[in-house]
Amino acid sequence: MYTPEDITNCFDVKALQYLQNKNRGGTSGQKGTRYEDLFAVYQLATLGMAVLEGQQEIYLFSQVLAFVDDLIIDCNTTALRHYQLKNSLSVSWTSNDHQITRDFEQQHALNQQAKNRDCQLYLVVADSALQATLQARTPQSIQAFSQVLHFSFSPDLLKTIGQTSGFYEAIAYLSAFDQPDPDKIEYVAKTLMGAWITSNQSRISVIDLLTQAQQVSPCYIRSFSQNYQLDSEVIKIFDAIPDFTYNLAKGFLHWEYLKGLEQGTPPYSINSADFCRLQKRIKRQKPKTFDELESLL
Amino acid sequence: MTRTYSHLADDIAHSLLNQIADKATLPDVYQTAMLNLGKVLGNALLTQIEPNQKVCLATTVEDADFLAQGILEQLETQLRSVVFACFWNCRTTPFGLNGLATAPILKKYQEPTDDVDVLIIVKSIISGACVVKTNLQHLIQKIQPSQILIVAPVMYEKAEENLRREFEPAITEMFRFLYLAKDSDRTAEGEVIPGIGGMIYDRLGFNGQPGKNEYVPKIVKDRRARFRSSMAG
Repeated sequence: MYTPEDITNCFDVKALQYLQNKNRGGTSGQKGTRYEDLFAVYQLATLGMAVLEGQQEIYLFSQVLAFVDDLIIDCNTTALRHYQLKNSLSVSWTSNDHQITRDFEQQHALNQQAKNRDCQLYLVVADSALQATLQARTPQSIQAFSQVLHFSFSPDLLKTIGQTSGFYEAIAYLSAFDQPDPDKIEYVAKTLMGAWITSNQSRISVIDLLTQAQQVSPCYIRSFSQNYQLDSEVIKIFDAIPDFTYNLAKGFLHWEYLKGLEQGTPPYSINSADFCRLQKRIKRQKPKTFDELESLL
Repeated sequence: MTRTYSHLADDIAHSLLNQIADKATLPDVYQTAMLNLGKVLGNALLTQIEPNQKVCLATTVEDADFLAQGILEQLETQLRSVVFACFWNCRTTPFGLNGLATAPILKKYQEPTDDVDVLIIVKSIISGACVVKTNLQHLIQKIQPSQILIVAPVMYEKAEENLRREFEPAITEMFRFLYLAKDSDRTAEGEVIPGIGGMIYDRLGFNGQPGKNEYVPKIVKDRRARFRSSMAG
């Protein structure tokens, strides 16, 4: 994202050495830093709709050669967004010789000089009172482009998702369900997190991350395509089975028997090879009752 | 290897636990041992439940015809009606990351009920508690029991702690754990030693996780047929 020359041209060799050390520290300290991963998943999920509905090209970066680099979001058309995450109660603008303030100042200058780009810089903390204090005390020199955000953190993933505005809705949107149960919310969030953790975080597009997450089996991430339909012979078989109903929301087969006494969703989309095999089995066996159909689903 | 037994483990239970821990036990014998362990635990459960209480028994597909069937047989000797639920979970670790272990529900059979006093969660072994957590979270969305009984022949010593961590105190204060043996050893792969003698799917004769998820338990077929008849009649 930024070359060593960008840094030395804007600042000096000392600044480059500082970033190289910081980057090494960041990378080695990455294991177990789940606050950062969770925040990345939150951003990934909330950006998912813009990418899938608006075909926006959005890139994520992390732990790159930059002053504010826990997460960087580049939507191309808008200002770069840089996030510094601090899951600690002892964060201040002035601690460690004003380190955070200086990082913010230099990041802003680097974007202007090396990229000719506007940017918004965010300090993200896990405590709401701390967020209010830090926001009120934002140094004058960075006020125009800096903001403090609250992003809560709990080891319980579902709790964090429930406590963060828009997080649940974003995961639900990406899921294969109109009204996902908690196990599906958890599974989709964990799949996104796995895609993020194992990706090349120095530069990865949102669509690539979503696609990688979608390829995991079982898959409960919505289909990206709007074109999906059942084989006409399978439709006839399904329609002839008493008390069996189904819908194809988000590209998945959601079925119910006897008004929900039994229900399920095969963990692959209608456009997948697995679903193609399922349809072939159904057409071959031609079940006439739910008892005959069930073991195929 | 450290195993401790609960006060519920009588001589019959000891013998059955040894049978399932023995890796040489064949699937049909293993299935019967699980059914009989269910009867032992079912009798223990009856001492915890009032005859007029409304009970829901929830289990997984692999345990339905064996452990859960044994429990249900005993419960139905004294309780007027027991609502039954069965889940087909897929235990998985996305991208091979163990920290992300999860067990989404692929399919479920759940008999309707207005209210439930006692929710019983049955599992042949509770170790990481991932499946129990998932199914319990699902169930308490719609039912509000006053008591949650978590039942297993064998538990890993940290399973209770793991499960409690996943829920708010308002829920965990309803928990009561009924088990016969508690083991303190687990292999790097997560197998409890001696536990239930390996992976439950294979011990019961299923062909791994995909095999058990294609299985439709007899108990589900029978109860569904009764339910269908009652709706028709």
